[in-house]
Amino acid sequence: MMPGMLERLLLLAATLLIPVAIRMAFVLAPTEGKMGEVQRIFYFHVPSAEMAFLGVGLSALFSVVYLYGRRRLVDVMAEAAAELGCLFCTIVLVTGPIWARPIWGVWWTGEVRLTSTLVLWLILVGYLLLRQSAADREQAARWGAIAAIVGALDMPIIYKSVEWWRGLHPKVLKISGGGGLDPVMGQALLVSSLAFLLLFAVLFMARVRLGLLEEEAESLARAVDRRAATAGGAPAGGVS
Amino acid sequence: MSYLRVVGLVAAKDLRTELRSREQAVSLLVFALLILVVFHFAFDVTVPDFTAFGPGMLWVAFTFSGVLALNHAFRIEREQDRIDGILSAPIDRSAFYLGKVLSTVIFMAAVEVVLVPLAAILFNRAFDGRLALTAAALLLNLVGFAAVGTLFAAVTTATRRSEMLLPLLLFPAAVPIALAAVRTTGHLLAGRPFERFAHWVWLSVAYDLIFLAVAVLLFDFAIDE
Amino acid sequence: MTLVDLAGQAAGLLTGTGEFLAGLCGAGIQAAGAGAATAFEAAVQPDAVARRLRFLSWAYTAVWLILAAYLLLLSMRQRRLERLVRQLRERVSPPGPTFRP
Repeated sequence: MMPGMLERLLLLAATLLIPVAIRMAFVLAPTEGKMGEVQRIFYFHVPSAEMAFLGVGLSALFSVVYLYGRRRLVDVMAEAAAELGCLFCTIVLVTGPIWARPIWGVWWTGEVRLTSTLVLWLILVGYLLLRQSAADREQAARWGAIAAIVGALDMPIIYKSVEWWRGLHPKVLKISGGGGLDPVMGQALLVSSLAFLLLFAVLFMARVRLGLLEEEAESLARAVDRRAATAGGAPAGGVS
Repeated sequence: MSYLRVVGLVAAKDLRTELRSREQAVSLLVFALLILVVFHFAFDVTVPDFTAFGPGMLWVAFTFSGVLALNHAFRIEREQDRIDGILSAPIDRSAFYLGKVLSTVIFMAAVEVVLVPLAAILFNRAFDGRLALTAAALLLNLVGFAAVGTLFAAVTTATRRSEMLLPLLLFPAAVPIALAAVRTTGHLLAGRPFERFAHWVWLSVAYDLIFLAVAVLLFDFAIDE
Repeated sequence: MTLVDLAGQAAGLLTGTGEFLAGLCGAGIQAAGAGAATAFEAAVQPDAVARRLRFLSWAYTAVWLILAAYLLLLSMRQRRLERLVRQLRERVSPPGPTFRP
């Protein structure tokens, strides 16, 4: 079955690439001049942020497609993308302070990217809680779509406004004396980003499968109710 | 019925209801005033530094009373089961949305007219042209707040957790205009030239236009019950 | 090439990488020590390096924990749903000739 094949290929690719990325991040990439080893957090902090923004962007895109065609699969994909976006956003917000503390002595530096990511996290959590509060699947899909579209459109504006409000992101990409990103560091970051992207893809497909299973359970429950109604019996138990 | 006429009628109905009972405006005003009083005690701002604290305090006061206003805007419709009527009426639902935004903005403006002078008195700020411009800047940002807030409120008031959900959705989305409001009014109160904060004003204008347009497009999906 | 072959190659690569990692970990820590000999680091206490390595390991652990927790959550939901779907399927198309709800 084609979807299963793709999923397995992605899982394989991820399994192969993740160790390579780890090796590059921890061994092959040079130690950063000013921050030392702890700078290596960068190799999973930055890709996580990329995936968080990918998540909200995809969710908004799928939401638009959903509102146009009202296909359940598309809504499942929108929810999956948002959920994963939230997951990676959490990783960013956890690793950010852990990185900041030994370097700058504070947990929260209030700098632009981290602040924007916090707002993104709130937007995604809001999306998920809003869907949960809806009366049925269709309402959750519609409402979620609105939240995702507004949220994704807002993100660039939020980022700009926070940037104007604060100073700029500290330069972490230099080694002492260097004029830019060390090439091996750049490669390590690229490989890490790719590994995270594959991870995202694998988790996404698993989550979509789960969502479709949920849909199947719901339609089956409705079918049972209908049979019971015509047979004059009691309805099936609710599907949460 | 023309689009603009519908917008006007929706807003007018809300205003007429309000003029009769005056409950909404009074509660909003009292609530906003209470927030200022809390700030007064929390931060000891009598030592006049209204310029530093004023912008933030005012925005917080309007944010929270704004949430009340937004909740109210839809609660009355739901209480009186008018949502079905709106859905079946042969009007563009986005016109209904704009009418609601308009009435919310008017309510907030009314609150502002009283609150800004009161804040100036409470925190020993002189009455001058800058103060009036501050009120105007706040209003500009409140339009954006109402635009996004009305869209979200239409959705959240149908849930049981509306008190938590509306702020949760609205406050992050409103971060740009919150920052714009605080920065613009801060620069205004400090007497700085327009060039210093012009970009914030343009940001507010852009935000207002973008999200009014987006909400007009999306509102249909918000109350499709 | 079957999936088993691919998996075998992946496993080989993993163990190879693991050995390499283990071998270089020692070298890595030494490299960290050498890297610490920058002008900036010289001004800082030597146990700052150890502290930073500790923070690095916390961050790394946190990433894996968060991912693992999510995967666990997904698999729990999956199992519950699969069981539910099985039960519901039986109710819709019951095995026996009579059906009593």
